Amino acid sequence: MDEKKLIEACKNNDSRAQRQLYETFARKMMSVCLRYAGNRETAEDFLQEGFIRVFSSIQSYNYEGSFEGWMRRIFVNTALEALRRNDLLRNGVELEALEPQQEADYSAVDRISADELMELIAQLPPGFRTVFNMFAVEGYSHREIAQALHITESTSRSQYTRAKRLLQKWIQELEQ
Amino acid sequence: MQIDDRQFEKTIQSKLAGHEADVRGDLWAAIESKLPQNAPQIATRRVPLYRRIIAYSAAAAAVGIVVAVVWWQTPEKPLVTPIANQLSTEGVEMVQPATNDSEQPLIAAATQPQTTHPAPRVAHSKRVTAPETQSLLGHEALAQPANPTTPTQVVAQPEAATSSTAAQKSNNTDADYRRKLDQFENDGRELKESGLTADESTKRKGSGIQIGVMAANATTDKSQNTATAIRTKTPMLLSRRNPVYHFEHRMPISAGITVSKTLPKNWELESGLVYTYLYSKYSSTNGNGSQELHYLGIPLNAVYRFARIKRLSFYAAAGGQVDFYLAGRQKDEGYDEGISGSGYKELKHENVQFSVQANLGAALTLYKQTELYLEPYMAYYFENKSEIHNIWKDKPFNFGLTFGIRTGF
Repeated sequence: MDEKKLIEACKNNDSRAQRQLYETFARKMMSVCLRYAGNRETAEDFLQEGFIRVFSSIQSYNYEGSFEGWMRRIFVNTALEALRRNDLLRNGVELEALEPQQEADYSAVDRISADELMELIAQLPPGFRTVFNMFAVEGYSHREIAQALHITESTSRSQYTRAKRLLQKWIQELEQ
Repeated sequence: MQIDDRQFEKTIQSKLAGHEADVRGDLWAAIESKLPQNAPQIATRRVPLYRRIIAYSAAAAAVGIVVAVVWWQTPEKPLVTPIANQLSTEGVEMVQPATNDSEQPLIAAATQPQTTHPAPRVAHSKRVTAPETQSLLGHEALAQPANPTTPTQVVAQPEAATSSTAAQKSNNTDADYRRKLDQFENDGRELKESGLTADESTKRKGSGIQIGVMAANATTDKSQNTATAIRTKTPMLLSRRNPVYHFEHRMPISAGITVSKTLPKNWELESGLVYTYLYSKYSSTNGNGSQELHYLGIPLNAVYRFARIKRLSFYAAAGGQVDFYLAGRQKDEGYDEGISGSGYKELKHENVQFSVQANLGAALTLYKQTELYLEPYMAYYFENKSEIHNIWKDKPFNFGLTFGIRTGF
């Protein structure tokens, strides 16, 4: 069954199509959830909630843009709502006190695997991790991030910069 | 090698673009259990017409069955004696007692020992003996005779009361006098019933029934009562009643509204309000009768949905229910010697009834979260030391069947 037929069947609440859609995208969406959750248990909650939302709102998908992108936005929004609800986005780290300002060497990220990168992202504080995911991976602008997370643009920029530095530090430690 | 920020982000994106992570195997079951199954959610136009007709027909049939069963179970109105029927067609002028006096004199009359002696051959005449006459009417037209020992003397006394305006209107014959008393007694009974019991029956028949759940016990039971099993507010008939009763219980009828809270891992917690109607017939050597009891119950059940196949889902549930007694009455029918005809007696307060039950259910999704369901159940009703006999007391362990419609919001 091609994607359009699959979507149409899901719009008619065909349970077999729903399961097929789930099996097609579950692993990819789990990766998204893991990046925002930081741990598997929370990621599974996001995944569950996200798929329920997908099937509940699939009638509104009008084939503009890719279906995977539409789904991904639902999962990101699901994660953001949960993080906001639990007030996890305010948990940052004052990095200036922890590390000296140094020349950034971001090329190290090219030398690690995707799984290693995922593990490092998961270890970022929730606020840094969220901004990093939204900006570096999803491609949101700092203005959009600020609106979504109810923070200022400068805070978004600052957290992103610090997240990158922290990642750089951890990658270098990983290579040593 | 130094790369700029833009390059860094591109690297991140390309590295994570196709990344996938393992997913726990049983996660789909949890997701599926929370989906509104197999019915279009927005575009109702996508529902074929025949499916909608079937769904609505099923719902209407379920409601219709409930209404029919409730209607069938509703007892008839109190029987009217042949004499009262005859009087109503004759248009005899009546002296109406005050409404608030209608019950008390009846009780007072019942306490007069001489009124309770059975005299089958003069059953109707006995009603017009002097003590009853006075307490029932409280009117000088039918004032107590000086020597109320025989029907003849009773008739003679009103004739003597010629100074009363009402007495002048009344007939002087024995038959007229009896007829008037019979009608008065009949009217008094109707007044009492209209104030206490008949309204309930009328309301139940007349009001629209909004059914969320319908339950019918599939088993009935017969039992023999103990001597002290029945208490009434008006013990007039009880005093002369033979204490041996044989009960035959009809199926309990329940209807109510339930709400459920979805919990993780396919669990739900369900509660609500359930009205239950119990109907029994009893018989003794002196007469037969019927008993109606009304309860309002609050169930609390844990529900586990263990399977879904397309629009069908299957679940198991267990929990308890507490039933509060609302009202009850008994109706004797025609066999009491001194007081023929039928009469309602309100039953006193009963203890709270606790029960536990377990059931298996199958639900068919009709539309969105609306389900038609069928639940075989078994229930155990604990002894509540009530003096009223019902099917729960006589047969505490019950099997039954529940069916109905429920919807989520």
